[in-house]
Amino acid sequence: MTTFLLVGVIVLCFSFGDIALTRGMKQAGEVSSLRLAVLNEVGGRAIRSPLVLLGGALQIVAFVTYLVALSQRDLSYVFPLTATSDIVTTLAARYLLHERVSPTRWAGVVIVSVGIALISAS
Amino acid sequence: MRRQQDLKTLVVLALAILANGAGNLSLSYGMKSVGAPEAWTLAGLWAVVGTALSSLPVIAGGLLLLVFFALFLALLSWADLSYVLPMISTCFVVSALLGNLVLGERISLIRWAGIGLVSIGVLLVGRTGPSGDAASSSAT
Repeated sequence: MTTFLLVGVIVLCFSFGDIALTRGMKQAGEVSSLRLAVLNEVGGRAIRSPLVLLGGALQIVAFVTYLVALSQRDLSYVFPLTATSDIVTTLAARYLLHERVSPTRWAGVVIVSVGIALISAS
Repeated sequence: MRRQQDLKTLVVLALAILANGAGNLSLSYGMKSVGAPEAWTLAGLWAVVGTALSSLPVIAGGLLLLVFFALFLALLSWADLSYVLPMISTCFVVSALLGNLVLGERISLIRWAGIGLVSIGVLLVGRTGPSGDAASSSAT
């Protein structure tokens, strides 16, 4: 039971962390070239963006919770469960970021998630 | 324009995946010589952190993972999250293959099946294009 609670926290933190990072980076502006001036400018805005910082913080919380979950259960039990976060993130990207997700992309995401679960379950 | 954008996305994706694979390899190699903690206590863990931070492969691995994160953020500045996230999963395949080829780790049958599925999924998502999901806007 507690493991499922922990996995829930991990999945939500990863998903909403990624959503915050994406929204923050879209605001910071496109990395349009690899010239130092551009990297400096976009990087500077990214580091000061509250959304990027929030996203980074949520990823750290997810990672620490993941370590706690690992101290209770095997990697091959915990990791496949967290593979569901890709599906949750895609749902969030669809409804919160209004990204267009075609059936082809959906199929790809689901197949990738099952694949990740298999790689880590063995 | 669209072509150029797609190419840029694929190049940065490839660099991110390479940085991730090389970083994990370096970390795994370095941590094996650092060794497991003698005791799972705060002092035992602290000793491992201390040794790890003086290991060149561990530091190089950490830096490569930072490079990976920076490239991931750069991708998110123009591409869809629902595109980048599944595409970046190629990291799992690369890490598994590098572990097998360089560190001699065994890959079980189930794991091969997973590697195959991730590859198929990535090919599907790759067809949709980095932003605005071309597969839904224009039926090609």
